[in-house]
Amino acid sequence: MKKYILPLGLLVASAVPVLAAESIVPNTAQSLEMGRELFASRCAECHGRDGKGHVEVIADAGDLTEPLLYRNGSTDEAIDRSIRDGAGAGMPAYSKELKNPEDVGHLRNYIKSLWPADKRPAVEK
Amino acid sequence: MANPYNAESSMRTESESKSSQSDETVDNVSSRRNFLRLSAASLGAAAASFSAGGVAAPDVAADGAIPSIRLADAFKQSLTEAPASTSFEGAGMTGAEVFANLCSKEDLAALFCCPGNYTVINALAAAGIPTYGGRTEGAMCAMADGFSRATGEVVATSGTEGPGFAHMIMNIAAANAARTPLLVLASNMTLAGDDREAFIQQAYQQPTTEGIKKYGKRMIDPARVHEYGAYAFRCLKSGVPQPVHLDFPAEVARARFKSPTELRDFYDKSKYRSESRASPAAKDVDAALALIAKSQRPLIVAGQGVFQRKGWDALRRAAEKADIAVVTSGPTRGFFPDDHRLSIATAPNALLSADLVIFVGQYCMPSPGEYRLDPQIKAIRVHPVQEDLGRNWPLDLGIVSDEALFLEILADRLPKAKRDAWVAELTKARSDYQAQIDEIYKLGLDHSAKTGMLHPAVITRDTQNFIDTHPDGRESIATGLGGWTIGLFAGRYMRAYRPAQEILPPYQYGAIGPDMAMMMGVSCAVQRGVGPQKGYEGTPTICITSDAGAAYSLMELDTAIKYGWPTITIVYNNNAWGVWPHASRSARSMHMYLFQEHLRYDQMATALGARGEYVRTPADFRAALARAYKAGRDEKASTLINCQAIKEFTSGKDYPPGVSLNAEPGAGAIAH
Repeated sequence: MKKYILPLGLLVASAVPVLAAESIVPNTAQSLEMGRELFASRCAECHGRDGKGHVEVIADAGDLTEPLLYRNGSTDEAIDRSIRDGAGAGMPAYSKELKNPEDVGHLRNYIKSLWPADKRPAVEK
Repeated sequence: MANPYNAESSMRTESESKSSQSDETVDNVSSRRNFLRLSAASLGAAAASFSAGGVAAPDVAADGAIPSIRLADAFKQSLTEAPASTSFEGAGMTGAEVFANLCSKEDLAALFCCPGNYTVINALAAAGIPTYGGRTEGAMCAMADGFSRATGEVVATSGTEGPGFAHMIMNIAAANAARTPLLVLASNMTLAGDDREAFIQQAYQQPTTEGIKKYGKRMIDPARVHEYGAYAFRCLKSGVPQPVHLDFPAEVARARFKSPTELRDFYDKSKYRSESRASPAAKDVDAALALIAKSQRPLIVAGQGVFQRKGWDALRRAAEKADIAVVTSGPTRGFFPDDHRLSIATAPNALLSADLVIFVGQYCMPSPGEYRLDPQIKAIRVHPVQEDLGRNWPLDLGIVSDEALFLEILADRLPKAKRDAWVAELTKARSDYQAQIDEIYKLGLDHSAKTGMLHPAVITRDTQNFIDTHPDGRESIATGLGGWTIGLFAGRYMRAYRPAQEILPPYQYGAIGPDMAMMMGVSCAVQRGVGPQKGYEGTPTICITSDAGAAYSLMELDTAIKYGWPTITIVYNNNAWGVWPHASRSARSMHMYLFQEHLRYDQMATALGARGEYVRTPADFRAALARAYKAGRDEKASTLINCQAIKEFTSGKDYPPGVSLNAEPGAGAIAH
């Protein structure tokens, strides 16, 4: 894997329980880039590279670009849960593939960057 | 030519059946013969069969029992007939015979067909081409495709005018996506009847194969039948292969020729096509060597072109000389072993680290993002056709070359290099991936124990374990992986160690259904020992498929048994189309996605003359697989193992991890 240098805070945080580790991943440009790579390799086949879920041949994947359309909730906790444990009948659980708790956070940060501009979290410096 | 029908069928013929009514040893309750005996006894009904000569000959046992399934004597007799020679002398040659002779000189490896296009298929059989007849044109087309995927050879398929030809379409498209050198033949009524809907079965065939062929022609001038046959083989054996479609109106197939001068371009193959191949320019090789020298983590993606050009030895030599990672792509696997220290096929987490990718013979080209590679990766592409270089994937270097020639030159000119860090990363990534799928297997065992049904992780992992530990050697059994849920799991666990040990029926086109038929074509190739299957004659093949997929070609078990191709079909029976989650939020839709529950595919197989096994536990599955292999190897019997499951295994929420696509490129990749 490519090596990324994580801020010290993140390294410390990775030792605490999973939910906490995921929730504190800052929404930085670096996190978005890592999330983008994870999204491209794990999510894009079903949700589409633009997140609109138009790739119907594979699955009935949701449109990730509008939080109002999220079927299993759009809070940070709900998004993380869907990534980890799967959602609906078709979305697989990624807890076995994404061993690093921060990866779920990076992925969630990237997914939220697909939201409309007025709902999108600001990118931290 | 050696008799290609060297496999003795497990099925008895009429005469054998009459001479021995009670010579069977039954070793398990689900054996085919036992089932038939029980059926006959319980039904107690009478039926008639017909003798080989076509004369009605009531053949009911004295006690009124239904006769056993058997082969007609005429079937085996037909397989022993010697080829017939044809000449321009006397009555002359038909257009079909001219074409058949050309196919024979081109070493056409096989014809898989259903009756129809009679003049042509009879001429091909008479000319000595190994021919096989089956139950549906679509499945026979898939069989031809499977034979070619397992051998790299040119094969033919045929069907009757409109309906038979139309039935082949899905599988012609699948062959096109796989770049299979498939010769599609079909009769097509008469030129005189064109545009008049004369009699029956009129159809414009060539527009139907638009976009799924390399070349096609409705032959309208009888004198050009040899010319167009030559055109077909030039396309099939040059550059990037794809299906070629010739349709034969009766005026062409049945035309008579008494002299070669009546035929246009009646040349030998040495004149109508060339064996010359593009060799890479020296400056291009230099540029490639420079890029490789700068790379710390180079990767070769070896596509179907490397397999078709039999470049696997050169591939291995080049990779080992400079510690270059390798992954194969395409519908045929194993020409770089999955367990090689440089294989990245089961090390998906290392893909993003590669800093240089060298595509060789990647016929179906992905776009960046479709492969799990760094978007900024340097890219070299080696391809036999110049105009494809740069399509979809931006290149740092494009090289026009035959795949095998390039790899040989690369292997010769590459300086030796050690890339220890890269090799260590590959090793770790493989180990991590193995740990991940081992964990999923444990989950699968738990799910199986809790539900009393077979989880797909268990079926596929235990199948590979059977192969890995079999005394015949783990390289012996050729496999094919299809179906949706089961196919994606199989991609994680199934391995290939030698060229064409594994084929991927759904490759690129994503057809659910050709699996069983394709693997029968593979089995035919194995039993004949064609190409890379040589040395494995007598070994049964294993097809992993779904209940949805089996429905498309299950009837062809009749064909496998007729010709003595021992196939083991593992059917993941989850009572539904694997895509049923599409209906999970649509209450009025679910009925469209569901089958009757607990259908008995094993019993359907038994009724077709195969062995049937029904299993629901891991232990029963392993035992059934062992019995199936033994029966296939010792008796050339085919077996279908019905693995009862539940559709909810697809759901990651209920039964984690559920179904997800496998990394591309790599083991289990199906898109490119």
